[in-house]
Amino acid sequence: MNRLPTIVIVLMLLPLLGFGQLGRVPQANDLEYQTPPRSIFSTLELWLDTGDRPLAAYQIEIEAVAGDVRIVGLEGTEPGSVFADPPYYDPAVMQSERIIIADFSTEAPEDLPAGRFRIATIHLHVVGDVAPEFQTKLTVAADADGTEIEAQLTTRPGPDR
Amino acid sequence: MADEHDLQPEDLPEMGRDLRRLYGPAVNVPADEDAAIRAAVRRGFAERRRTRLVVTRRLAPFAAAAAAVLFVIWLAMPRPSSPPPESIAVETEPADFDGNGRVDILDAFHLARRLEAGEEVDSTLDLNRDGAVDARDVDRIALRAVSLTPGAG
Repeated sequence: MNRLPTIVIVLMLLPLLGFGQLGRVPQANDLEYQTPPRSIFSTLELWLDTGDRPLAAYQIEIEAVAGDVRIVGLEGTEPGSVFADPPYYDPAVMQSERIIIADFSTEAPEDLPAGRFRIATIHLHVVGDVAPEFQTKLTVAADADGTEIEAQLTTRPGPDR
Repeated sequence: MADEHDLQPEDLPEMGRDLRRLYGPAVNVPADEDAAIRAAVRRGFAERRRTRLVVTRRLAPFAAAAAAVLFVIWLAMPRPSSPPPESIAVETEPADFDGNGRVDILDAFHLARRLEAGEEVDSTLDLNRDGAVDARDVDRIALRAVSLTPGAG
């Protein structure tokens, strides 16, 4: 028996079932409607402390290890600094939870930042109520001669937006 | 619907009669003639087997000797020696400018400093193959240092 006409009719009717939901008024017991996932844009500031050594190059790995976090943007440090522009990063990892950033400057040592300063800011999209946590690693910190120096990396959550 | 040529159970006796008519009665072979034929056949097979065994026994020492000679020749043959370790081509990473085994931002930094100082740099650092080692190659090394995409750069 040829069932093709029946199948075609059923396929044509299927979208109508979906259209019936369009005018549906949300119900009180509709949990999905009552509690939409929290979605905020936030920032994570990365701070370096190089002591009295001027910083000429750095490379940092950042990974969100808790929370539903997506990296959506990057910002350099204060305007006027040699690191004011956004650092190098892999554009393919935007919207992911892991990124490597790096930058360098060939300016004279007296023009390079030293001490404790904000080196970059990461813009985040956080979904859900789980507080994001990050794992960071400073893989390179070097002075104007390219000699690796001791530096401390710390993070500070920025304001929600 | 049954085919008109299909064989029906009631046709079997008739078919038996037809076959007997076609091929005639079975030939009766006397028992002594039958035994003589069987004995002749057996003698023929036994003779052939004996011949084969004799041939095998006579040739076996020659075959063993030939195998031994071939084995000695094979042992004496010079073998292609494996290439010395020095001849193995080592894939070097031109972007690893400082040669520390990894491509990181310091490679880009060192190359940028040498370019700014006007020093000559190896043409293998022309990573984008545009005929010149310049800031674009520095960028390329820096981007490779931060790449999380396999095979990128």
